Amino acid sequence: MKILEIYLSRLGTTYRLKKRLVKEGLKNGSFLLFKKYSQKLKNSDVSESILRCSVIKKFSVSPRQLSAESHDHSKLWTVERVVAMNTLALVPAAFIFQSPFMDCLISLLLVMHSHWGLEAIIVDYMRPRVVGPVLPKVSMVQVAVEKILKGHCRYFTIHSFIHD
Amino acid sequence: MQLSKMAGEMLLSRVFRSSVNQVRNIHASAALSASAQRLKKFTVYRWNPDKTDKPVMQEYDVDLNTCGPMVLDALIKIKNEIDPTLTFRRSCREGICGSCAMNIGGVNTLACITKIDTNLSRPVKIYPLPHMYVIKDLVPDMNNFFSQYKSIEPWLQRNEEKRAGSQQYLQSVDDRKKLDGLYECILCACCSTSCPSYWWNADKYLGPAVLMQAYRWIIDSRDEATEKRLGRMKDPFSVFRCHTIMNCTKTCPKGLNPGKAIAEIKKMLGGISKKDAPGLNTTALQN
Repeated sequence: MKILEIYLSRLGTTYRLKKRLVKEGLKNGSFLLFKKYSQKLKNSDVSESILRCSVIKKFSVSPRQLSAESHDHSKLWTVERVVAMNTLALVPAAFIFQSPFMDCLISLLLVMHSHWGLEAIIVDYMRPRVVGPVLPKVSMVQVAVEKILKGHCRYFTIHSFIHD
Repeated sequence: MQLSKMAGEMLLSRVFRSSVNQVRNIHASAALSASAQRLKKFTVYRWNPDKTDKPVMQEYDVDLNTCGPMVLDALIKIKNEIDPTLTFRRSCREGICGSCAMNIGGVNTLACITKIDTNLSRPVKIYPLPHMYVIKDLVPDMNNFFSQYKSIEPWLQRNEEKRAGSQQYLQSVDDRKKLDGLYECILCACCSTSCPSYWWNADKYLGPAVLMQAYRWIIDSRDEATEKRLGRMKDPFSVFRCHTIMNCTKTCPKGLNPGKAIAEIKKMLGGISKKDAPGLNTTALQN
């Protein structure tokens, strides 16, 4: 690690670039390779040899935020839209066609709809950069627990509201 | 009778001459003072990185009679005549370069195409683009914005070309029409910096300006990297942090609609809509 730091500082790269290189090198498993190179580098022209190294070749300046490392959100988005649209029709329908199945369906949809809404609020306003790493996770768990409790409550409220 | 009437008029004119002249002088002096003094207050955000002071709002009085009609004219006048330390970006002064994007009277817009409000009782408040790191005064740090733009690879991508560059690519009139309202974007970042989602998650959410350019390349009939481009935006943040707030469309100084472009990307990602096949054989002249 230290050798890497020294050579990179000799190259006159910025601190961010250095960090990125180390991260990238470790991720690609080519750090060992880099170490091997660095032994050779001691007496040779540093910049030229480093440029030949695979770590540099894989290095790209474009940020990693687009690499889609996390899950595919597009299907969930479609489900969210479908649920939101169906809720419009299902709320009046639940009053007209009264049945335990209908109550179950509407409470499920309403709970999911509000759950996604709350989740989005937490992602936006409980950012680790602002409130620290713990609080966002706690609130996510809280929302999940609330989802389950609300599901039960809502079913019974709707059930009793419509049938009594 | 006639004579006496004339004499009467002469008398009247002699009596009132002084007062008529007075009135005339009053008007003249009013016009004179108006041409010299139509002071408008400009309240400008100031922050100097070389000092440890907190940002302050500094007031400048600008005479509108000797100033051009736009806010940028006033800023240039302040810099030239009142305070040379005032720092801001500007280049084309006609709304095509996007350099002078700033928050004027609470709205993100271009200083060069925004008229100064001629109501002298209210000051013009000028801030840098909101929720951006400030380099100095009205100059925001655009590095994140432009690296995001770079990350969508904003250029034409083809899979294989036998004789690339030898002939033009064909595009039907209808396919070309799809780019209208997209290609005009000058990347001033007014829309992105007006978006709350971009304020909270600028590190992961691409923002309206960049997403509209992503869509401009996705929908281009000549571009073949559509799947690759869409595939990289499937995560919960790049596109889906957009909550359809529509501040972007409201604020765009060029009158474009980034909100719609983002909706189109979402539809394509969700499988609701698809890119049409090109109306013309794109490489008909090349192969």
